[in-house]
Amino acid sequence: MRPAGTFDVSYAEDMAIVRTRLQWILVALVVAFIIALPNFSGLYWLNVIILMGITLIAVFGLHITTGLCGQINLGQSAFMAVGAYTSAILTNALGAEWFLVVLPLAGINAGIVGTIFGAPSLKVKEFYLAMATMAAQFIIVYLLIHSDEFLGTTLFGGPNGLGVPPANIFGFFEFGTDFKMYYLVMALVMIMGLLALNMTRTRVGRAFVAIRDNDLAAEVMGINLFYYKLLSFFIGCFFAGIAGALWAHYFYYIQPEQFTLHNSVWYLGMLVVGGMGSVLGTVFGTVFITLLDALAYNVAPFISAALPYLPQNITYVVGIILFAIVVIVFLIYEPRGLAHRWRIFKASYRLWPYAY
Amino acid sequence: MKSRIFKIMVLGMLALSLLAMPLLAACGQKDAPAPAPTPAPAPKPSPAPAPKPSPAPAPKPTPAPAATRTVKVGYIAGFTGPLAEGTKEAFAGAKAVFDWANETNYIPGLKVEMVSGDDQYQAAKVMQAYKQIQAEEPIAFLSYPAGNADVLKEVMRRNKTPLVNYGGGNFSIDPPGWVFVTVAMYDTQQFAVLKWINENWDVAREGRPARFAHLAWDNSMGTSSIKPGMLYAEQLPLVDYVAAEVAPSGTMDFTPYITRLKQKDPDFIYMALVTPPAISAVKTGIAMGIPKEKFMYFDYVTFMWGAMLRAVGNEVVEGAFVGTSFYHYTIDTPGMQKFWGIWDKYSGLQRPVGLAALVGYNPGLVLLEGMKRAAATTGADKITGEDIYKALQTIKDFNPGTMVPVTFGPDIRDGAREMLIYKVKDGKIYLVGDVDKPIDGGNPHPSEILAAAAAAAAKK
Repeated sequence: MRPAGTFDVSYAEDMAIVRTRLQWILVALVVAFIIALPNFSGLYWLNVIILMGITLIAVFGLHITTGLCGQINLGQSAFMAVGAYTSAILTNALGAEWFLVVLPLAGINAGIVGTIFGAPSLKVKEFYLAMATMAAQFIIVYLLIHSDEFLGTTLFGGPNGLGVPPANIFGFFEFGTDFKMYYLVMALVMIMGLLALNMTRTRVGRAFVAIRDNDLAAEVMGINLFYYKLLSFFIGCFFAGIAGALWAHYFYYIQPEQFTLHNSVWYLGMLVVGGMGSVLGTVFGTVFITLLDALAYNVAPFISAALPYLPQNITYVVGIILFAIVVIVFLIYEPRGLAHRWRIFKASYRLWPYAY
Repeated sequence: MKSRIFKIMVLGMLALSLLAMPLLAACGQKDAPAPAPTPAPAPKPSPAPAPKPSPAPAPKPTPAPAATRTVKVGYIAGFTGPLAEGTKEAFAGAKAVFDWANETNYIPGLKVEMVSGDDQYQAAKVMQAYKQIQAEEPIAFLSYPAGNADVLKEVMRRNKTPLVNYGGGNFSIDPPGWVFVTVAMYDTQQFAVLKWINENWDVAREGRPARFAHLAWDNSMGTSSIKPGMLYAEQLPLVDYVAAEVAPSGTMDFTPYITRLKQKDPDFIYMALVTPPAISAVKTGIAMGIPKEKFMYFDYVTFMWGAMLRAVGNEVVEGAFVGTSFYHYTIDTPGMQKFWGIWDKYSGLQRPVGLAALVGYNPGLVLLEGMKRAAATTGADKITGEDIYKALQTIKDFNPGTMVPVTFGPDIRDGAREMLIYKVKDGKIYLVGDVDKPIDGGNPHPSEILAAAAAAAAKK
């Protein structure tokens, strides 16, 4: 619902993402806030925010595959690994200054691998597709660990992992500190977020939504299921590959154990909590769950200190317990996620102080 | 028209903001903190337990000089999670070293404060734990378990901060960088064990070589010793390396792996595992009729020995072999007496039943030695991480009296290459052999064996 008096007088206005003056001001304020944030965040929270940004890019991808097209993907973390290893190997071989060239290649490689594992989506749905994509998680990680046996190369580092140089733009500028990396990640979050947002409004995005809502009806309307389902996997995993590459260049080190099924499940949970099919919901869900995890991480030692009779290995699962509770609560009470809550809030705010 | 002008203005501002991003980044005012000298900062709370006073005797303090500088040492480990119990003791052990050093003015003009970060024993959280304490600008780090060294290697190099890690995989020290490892590496440990079996196997009674088997998870700790171990065993007349069973990381049910091992009828089953899977594997083995004495515990499991005994009962581990570069508390050396004095006074914990206190104490002592040497060269008021890094490389045959001697060098980062073998008898641990004659797992060095094999393969 749009506020009274807000209407379009041209096609350009109809297509615009930001419509009103207030929205423009809000966008400007958000950008200003993002730019200023590292000056008062502190190093620890800067780290949390950078990781949040990287996660957000991966979850944007999941939003396209699962949220828009309805193809469940439980291997997003493994596809991040593909992107991370692609970027690590290529920058180690060519030099870190090729980062800007390598970054899209990491996305494309992850997209190709994702498309291969997404192929079963043509025959199976829902729970069975979840199983198929979960297989990607195990197969990719296993192959990375045992690359020397399967491929006869130590290129992937096996269980030891790989060192990764900091991202660098053609030798002119190195993203060698958290402060610099923050701006790179945030710039990419904005670009990828805009891509995800616009995807919904394109022919491809509408085809995805049609498939999600009723694939038989979509096929009858002339949508090529084979093409669009695989395309959703390609695009979703492309995002994961970009996120993986950023992860690698942020930590300077990757190993298969960093890309766990646990992470893939968390990403899906973020989508559920935020609201499937909404880019804003994806942002809400990722921010909410990441902050929840950070909160649990910081609270756990105090719980240990306050309740010394509790075994210490219990306190570290506080985050997992909170995550599970939040997901259950949202599935029961607000299956449309935080995005829906936000829409309700906006509608109420516009009518305030009058009730519906 | 008005609206269009407004939009153009906002878009212009946004474009300028985006342009400003790299410019701001280029300014780099928030760059990673360089390990430069800092004036004694106020201590900040840490999630680790604070030491409590204890009546036990300790070395007498000497008066500190008027001007002292306080530097910070970071400690990264699993304060919560599966290793939490051991971490509590390990951190207390390391902190006790520095509290003792502060009180006795061990490094004149320098006081050390510890700050800690919790990695929850998850590889993905190690960097987060590092970032948590990086803001406090520690000039050196301590950490365990071994995997942390791999993750932190590059960031330590970039920030010119030395890390003294309890253990480490080969990746963390090859090429030699800012990571210094205090216990024998995984492959060196296995070499020492193979050597020990070869020297002690009663071939006259058995009439055949000893059958050696390896059981591990599919990770760096589990698999890095297999290939060099197999190659080395080929050179040993009294050891047959009959099997290496590798289960996916996280496996707790070892039934299929133990079943296959049983078919090979090994005399020794070397478990390159952490405590929970090791307990599970031994219980499975016992249930399948494998004598419990055949299982050998190494590396971190050794330090969880107390917890393991409590968890599985003495009868399960009775007769088993245990290996580590560290001395057990039962070994009475002057170094061990000094440890007890420091532990009782500064740790705030009861005497440990495990060995985890030494997991913190020994690397702490090694780092303290490096800091002392650096302060002597540079001056306590100017000491930096780079100075400590250089000083650590000068440590040779440093004997804390609680572990085998430690030696680093320009190209040496694995400080200990020797092992002590213990045996459990009547629920207690006894040293097998002489404390002054540890088994050398570094001669030949595993890297030499691998290089020779690679050269031979290339020749073929």
